[in-house]
Amino acid sequence: MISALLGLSMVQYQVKLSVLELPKPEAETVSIHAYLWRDKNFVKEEQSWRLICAITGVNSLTYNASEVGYFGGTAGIRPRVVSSPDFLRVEVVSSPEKWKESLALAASLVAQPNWRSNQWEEAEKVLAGTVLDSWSESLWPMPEFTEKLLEDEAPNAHSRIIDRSGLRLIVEGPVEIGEAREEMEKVSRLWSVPEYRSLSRFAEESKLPMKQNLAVTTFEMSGKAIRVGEAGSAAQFLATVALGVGKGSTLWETLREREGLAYRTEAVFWPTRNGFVPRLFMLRRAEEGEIQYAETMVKSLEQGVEAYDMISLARAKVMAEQILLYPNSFAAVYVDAENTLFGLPDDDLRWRGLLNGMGLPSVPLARWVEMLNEVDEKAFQAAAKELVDSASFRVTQGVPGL
Amino acid sequence: MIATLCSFLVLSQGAEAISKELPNGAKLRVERVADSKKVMVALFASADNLPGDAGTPGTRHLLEHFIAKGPDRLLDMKLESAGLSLTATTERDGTNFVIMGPSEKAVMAVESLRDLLEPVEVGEGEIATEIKIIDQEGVFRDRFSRFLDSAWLNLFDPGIESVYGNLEAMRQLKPADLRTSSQALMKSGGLTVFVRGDVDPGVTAMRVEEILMSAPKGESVRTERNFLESIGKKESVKAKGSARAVIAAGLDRPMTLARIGSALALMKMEPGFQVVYEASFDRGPILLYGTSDTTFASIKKYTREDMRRFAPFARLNAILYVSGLEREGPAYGILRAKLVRQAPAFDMNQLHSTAAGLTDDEIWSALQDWQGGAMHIGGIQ
Repeated sequence: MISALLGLSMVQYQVKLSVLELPKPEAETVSIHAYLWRDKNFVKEEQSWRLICAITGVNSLTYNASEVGYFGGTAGIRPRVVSSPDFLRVEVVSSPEKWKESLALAASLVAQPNWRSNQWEEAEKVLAGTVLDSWSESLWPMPEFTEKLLEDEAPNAHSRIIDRSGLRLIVEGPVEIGEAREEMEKVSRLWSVPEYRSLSRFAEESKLPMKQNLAVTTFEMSGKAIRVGEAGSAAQFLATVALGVGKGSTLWETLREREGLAYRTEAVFWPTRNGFVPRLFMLRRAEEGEIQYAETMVKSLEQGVEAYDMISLARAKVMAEQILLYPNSFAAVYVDAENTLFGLPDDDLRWRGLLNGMGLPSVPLARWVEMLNEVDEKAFQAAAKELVDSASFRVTQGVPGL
Repeated sequence: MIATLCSFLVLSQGAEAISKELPNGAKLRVERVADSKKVMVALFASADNLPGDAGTPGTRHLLEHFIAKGPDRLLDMKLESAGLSLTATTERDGTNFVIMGPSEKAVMAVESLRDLLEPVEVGEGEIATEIKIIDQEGVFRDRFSRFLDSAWLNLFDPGIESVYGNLEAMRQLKPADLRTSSQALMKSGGLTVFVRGDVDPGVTAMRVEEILMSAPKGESVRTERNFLESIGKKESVKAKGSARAVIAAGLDRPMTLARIGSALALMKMEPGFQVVYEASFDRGPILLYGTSDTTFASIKKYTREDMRRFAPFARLNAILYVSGLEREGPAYGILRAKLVRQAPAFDMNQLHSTAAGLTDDEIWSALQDWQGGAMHIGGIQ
């Protein structure tokens, strides 16, 4: 009876797996991306999520830190960990001979953090002392680490998230369809999600702050998430480019060059579980009575959109292709909180992996560029107007004179 | 004969390259990266062309803003409509312009250099608006900026001023001042162009040469950076935090990478640090900035015995730093253009092996700099 009770309290869950295989026989390496997506961004888990992102990649229940380091030494590249408010990703590039071991390692680092020996307390201290620059803070504000996390808080959040969302793997290279899935099913057969406390159904979701302890005030307009490949998405993408990407954009030409209101104006495509959110920014020195500039920003964009024509569309198409496929000073498509598409070898995989996690067909970048080129002037103008008219506006006030 | 002596062709890492020094003192290097489909054109105008910012701190910074717009203010629009983009920056070493984009537009990218060499013709209203923008730019100056400025000013003789500038003084600049200064900044003797991408090196080099030969003629007199001893030096600035600064002799020296690697390792192990370095082959400070005045207390504990674990981590960070430098963005273009001007004999590929080959002794010595040997800059706020 006692053992039965004990058995009941020790119930553990199988790690759910999703594997996307993208065979590329001509490739010389196998690229593996392992994702953990959050189901929702709960206030209660914000600190834990930052900590989970910070410790992922150190070790796991299957691989200790030396083994992870040894892997880096033999494969030439250590696993790379990147994160965002909605997901974290471990990237591994492997030789074809070792790809199955690499897959197991990447998956294990995401699914099985070893909280006993990953030095999370040290990582928490570093996080607590981290001060972000105004741009990083605008994109993904750092939660306050005023209170230390309880010992089981982050492990609990990790277990809850992986149980809800599972582990998502993307494999590209000289592999056969079905091989990665088969390998993962074998490897993870004995993996389990430790028991965890559920969150209350009234748990509050995170909201962006209204104030920031910086000398900068952030004015932000954001639109509905662009669901790449779905109807209207290509026009929405181009409208965002026209509004804010590059020095020929409306934001730059009006707010910076004409009005001299700001040094930094920018539009980005921000990856979330719902799609790429278009975010238009103006960052300026915090001052009294600055709220008036919110109206200036909206009016400038409204006026700019009125004047959009074939030339605006042509510039947007060329610029979009550049920021999607090549290194560009105005790179704007974020593939995590810190990095953008930049014409890098695995960018297409990052893009397709994100689309897969967003529940969208994994349209290759080159195909997406073709779809953008099919957008006509009317659809482009309508999308730009719709974006400006329906955007939500947020002002995060800084501290004047700081 | 002179041309033959000054130009040479090399083949390295599959990149065919041409380097030249022109009779007017300008330098160029063109590297082919076959099938990359990309092109990068970097113009570096040495700060030696306009020593001491011609008496008004921030002149080069203001010129950078205007030059990047082009003589008709449409340069960006023209470039972007062709898929190209232009980035401009001002550093202590010089003023930089980088154009990047698809290689099929390489001719346009190179030809845009002509616009950058044109003298700046602006009205007083434009100057006023641009200074408003630079004022806004000031808010993005990093927390460590004042500490870095102090290091440049106090570790060299004569001290090297901030490149951001003095807004009040800049407001006094007249259109004629900017015209004259822009011509001085673009003097041929201090110009370097670096082109890399899917281009024909011979044809591209000829085109760059023709453009550089049209630059205002003039020598660029190199200002030697005489450095002062950092040990025991103490300064304070009106800002939050604290910092330590040490002079690096240039990226091509192992101790530079040892100091960067050890500082980056400290930054990743202890909370509240930032590492700052303007990559260069000339002398310049490496700054380790701490967000509070007590941050540095945490690094006292590392001893020689810790080198067994610390040194490999510092070495790894030096390697990662070098890998970051090689990422093909504007910063890479600027660094390569500087290399042509400052250390043409140095092979960038050596950086990796230098980082990987750092000895425990070098790393220990670098760590000791951060623990005490470097200049101490305290923040008063």
